[in-house]
Amino acid sequence: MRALRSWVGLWDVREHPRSLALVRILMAAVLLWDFAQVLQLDLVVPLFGPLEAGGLGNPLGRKQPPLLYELLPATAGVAQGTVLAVVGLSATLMVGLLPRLSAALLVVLLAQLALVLPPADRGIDMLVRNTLVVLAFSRCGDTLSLGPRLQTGSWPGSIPHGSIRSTCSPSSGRSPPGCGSGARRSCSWPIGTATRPIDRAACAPGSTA
Amino acid sequence: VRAGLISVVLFGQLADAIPLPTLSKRDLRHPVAQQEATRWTQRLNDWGVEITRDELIDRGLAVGNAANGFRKAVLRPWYPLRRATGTGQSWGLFAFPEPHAGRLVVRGRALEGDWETLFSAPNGDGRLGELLRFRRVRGIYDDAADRPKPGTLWPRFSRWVAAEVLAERPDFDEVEVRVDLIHVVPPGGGPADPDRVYHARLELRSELAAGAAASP
Repeated sequence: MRALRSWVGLWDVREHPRSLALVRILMAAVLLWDFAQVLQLDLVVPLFGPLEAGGLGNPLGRKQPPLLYELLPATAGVAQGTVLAVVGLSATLMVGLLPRLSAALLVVLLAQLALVLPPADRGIDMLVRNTLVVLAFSRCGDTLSLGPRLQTGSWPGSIPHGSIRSTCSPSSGRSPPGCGSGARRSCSWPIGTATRPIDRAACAPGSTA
Repeated sequence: VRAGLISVVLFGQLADAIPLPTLSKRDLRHPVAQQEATRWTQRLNDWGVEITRDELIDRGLAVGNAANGFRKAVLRPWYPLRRATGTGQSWGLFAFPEPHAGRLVVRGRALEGDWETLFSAPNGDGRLGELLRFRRVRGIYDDAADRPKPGTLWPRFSRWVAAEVLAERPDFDEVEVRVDLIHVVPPGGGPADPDRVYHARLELRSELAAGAAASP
């Protein structure tokens, strides 16, 4: 059991929320820049459209066509709509509006676009999708994010679960302030103050949270 | 359970990322592979290992097949997820030192006129230069043009480039799209081979106008 716990402890480390937020913002900025260039150079249809609509790839000629053109008609309009959706989701990811959902949808749409013309999808694009999967399962929107700002009215938004332990808990081992009474509490964070629901696990006897 | 899940994920990523020698006969026909096989045979012989070049290639292929089979078997259950998300660890950055690098060259002219070089990678002005330097477009000709047989994408790409050129230059009637193979020699590596023209295609305005650009 001890070995298993050590193994889990080795890999199960929470990343700092600001790091995740910075990755989220910068990654979305890169995507916006990339697709802004695609739009500016009028490359949407050549790169992402089906051959029949003037695309360079032949997605429908493949044994397993992309789901995009199986579910939707293989037209230039669908390619343009998908690219615009990617741009919109990149923007919501960057500002932190539903960032996890945005990251998850981006992964799916970018994967579909990659299947239209695989040579135009570079190694770095796969790395971007790998990172977006991580962001979709992370608390990347907990800080430097518009969503929590709209919810709480204060910057930088909610403090993530892991970070409350270090910023809100007294070192004496007392229960965190707010346990057992209010539903929410304020916590200080190096770049601001935020409010989030009390984590009941942090109030358990013996918890240092 | 958590430890098990972490182990499964790590093993899958490792199997995907580890540079297993997944060789095929086609890979070994490449001049670089031939040179490497000769070099390694010589090196092993110098170290006292008795092996011929053909034996080394056969062993390489056997190991490659086994490694490929192992990787496919491990990753097969994840294929639908990997396809839906376009994720994985099989991204190669600068994985292959190609001594015969391809340079895309685009030229145009009026009928019987003098050729004008519009793009010679990475140099080119205006919209054409921007288009062909864009990383996603570069992926198309980097991927297809150096191969002995560039496949169906190359003619499509060539027609598309020609259409772009002819739309901007009404004075042109012909566009040539080709790859110049340039021999890159390391310091002290002897004289470079002369440049070779590869996959040259001549696109005519009359043919493009007749709708050839739309055909696969």
